[in-house]
Formats: sequence, C-alpha cells, structure tokens
Amino acid sequence: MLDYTGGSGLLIPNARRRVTVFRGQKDYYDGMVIEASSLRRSSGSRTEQEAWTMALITQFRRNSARSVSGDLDSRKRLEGMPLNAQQFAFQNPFVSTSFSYSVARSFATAGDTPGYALTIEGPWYNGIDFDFQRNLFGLYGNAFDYLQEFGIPTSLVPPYTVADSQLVNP
Amino acid sequence: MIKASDAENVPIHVLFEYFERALQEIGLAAGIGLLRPGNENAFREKISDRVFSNLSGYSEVESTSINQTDPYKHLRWEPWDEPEKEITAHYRLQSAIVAALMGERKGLMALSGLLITEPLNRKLEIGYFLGNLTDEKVGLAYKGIPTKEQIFKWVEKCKDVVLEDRLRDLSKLNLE
Repeated sequence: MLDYTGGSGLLIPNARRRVTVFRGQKDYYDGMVIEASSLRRSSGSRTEQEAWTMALITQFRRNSARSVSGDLDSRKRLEGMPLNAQQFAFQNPFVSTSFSYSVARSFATAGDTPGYALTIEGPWYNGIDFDFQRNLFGLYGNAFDYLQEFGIPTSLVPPYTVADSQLVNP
Repeated sequence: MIKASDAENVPIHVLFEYFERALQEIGLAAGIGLLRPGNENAFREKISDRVFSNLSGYSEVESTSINQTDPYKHLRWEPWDEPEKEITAHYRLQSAIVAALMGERKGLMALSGLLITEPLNRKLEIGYFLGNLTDEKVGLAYKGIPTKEQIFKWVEKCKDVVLEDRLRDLSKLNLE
C-alpha cells in the first residue's frame, strides 16, 4: 500500500514478506467482517464513511510517498496521521492489529472480561507498519509505539486472513 | 511490559515531549518559544485562558469526577461512537497535560476523569504521562496498557498527589 520503493529508490529489504499479527476484540465469529474504525465510527451515511476512509488512506499513501522523496511538509503531516489514527477512532482507516500477542491479549481482556485474540496473516507491504514508518522518518510516536501497530487498510479481507481465533480470559 | 529506552527513560524528556505536543494540539505551538528561564509567569499568563477553557464546560466528562459516589460506572474501554466526543475529550486531555505540568490540580483531576472515560489507547497515553509526572505515584514510568485494577487505584491516589510546577524545568530544556 505504501510506496516505500518509489522515486527515491529507497529499497526495503524483504518488503514482500508475509507477516503474522494479532488483534484483540470482545466478539468474534467465523465469517465476521472486521472493518476499520473510520468505517464504523465516523459520521454520515455509509457512502460518506467509505469516502472518508478512502480519503484517509490516500493521504497516508501520498504523504508516505512524498516523505520518501524528502518533502518536509509531507513528513510533518505524516507525523500527525498515525498519531491521529491512534487517538481518534474516526480517523483510523485501518483495522488495528499488533505484532505483539501480549498487546492483542490486553485489548481482548480489557476491563477484566473475556475476549478474542485473533491471529492474522497477510503481506507486510499492503498494510502500514506504524513503528517502521516512524523509525524510517524519525516521527514522534508518543506512548503508542508500545502498541507495535500494524494497520490493515479498510477491512480484514484477503490477502489478509484470520488464521486462528482464541477466546482468552483475564 | 516493554521498558522505555534509555533516552525515553528520563522523565523530564518524556514530559517535555508531551508538553510540546499538547501545546501544538490546542493551538499554542508558538507559545513554546516564549518559555524561557525566568519568564515562566509571563508564559503561564499567556496560555492560561486557552488551557483552562478546555478544562470546563463539558458536563458529560465532568460527570465522571472522582467526587461522584460511583465513578466506575463510567469506566469505558472502547472509543466513543461520536467523533465530536472524541475531539472534545482530546482537547481536554491535551489541556489537562499542560495544566498538570503547570502544577494545577485541575489538570490532574481532569486526567483522572479521562482515565475512566477514554478508550484503551488514551489510557495508555495518560498512564505513561502520569507515571513520569508523579514518579509512578500514579501511572507507569514505562509504556504499558493499564488494567482495570490499576486504573481504579490511580484514580483514588490522584486525590492525594501533590503536583509541582514543572515550567522551570521545561524552560531549561526548551533552551537545549
């Protein structure tokens, strides 16, 4: 999704690799469609929510590409966008997952009630690796780097798949 | 839990980053330039109106004051469904961070309320800030997702925590 290998010639080793990430949530059933927060929690009609989500993803993509090319304004915008995504559900066009099972488990069992920890597999290149991007461009991450977040654009559909789901207790 | 890196593990540096970011978020980015050693009172006067205006007047969040008999019925983990509430709480949070660094109890109380009402990501953000601000009397000096038990404990402890004005420390750091 993010064109790290664009005009600058910046090469990311093994960018096409597959990753295993985890997500914690309270409910889950086979076939459940998991959508980005911006699709679920922004204002307006469904069409407007979809347009808003696509606009956010486009901005992520463009600002990433221009940051790679050295554009400082884009880099500044790109610093704010992941922070906003992690602070405002309606500004997060990704299905939030984590490289850390422990983090996903904390979300699943938030409030000392049971929940589901999902194991998700898919290509690294199609999503956004928040910490990779922050390290690449030297962006401020607040406390959110703890989340080790990987964002899956729009909704959890192929090429991303749920490989496993476990009911976990606090 | 992941321990903060050595660089991050200097509380005043963590606080300065929160401070600078919070000022930006509430439209006072230019204000940081005014903060110099010996100029703290003028800085405080300059930013106070904006900071405190965001700390009052939101009845829904105010209702979670720890003075209520049962604040925990307001405990939430999921994001607000309405973007407006997310935005309101965000400005309140950023203003509370600045106020707490100014030694204002009102800032600490607002953070205490937001610990209850805000979703997990913001609980993480608040917990790490408070841990560095209070030397872990409340909150965590490292990054970690707080449990329900920890939140209850911190909210209670906030009643007894005495804040110091950190503007002098921040002003020195602002020169670097």
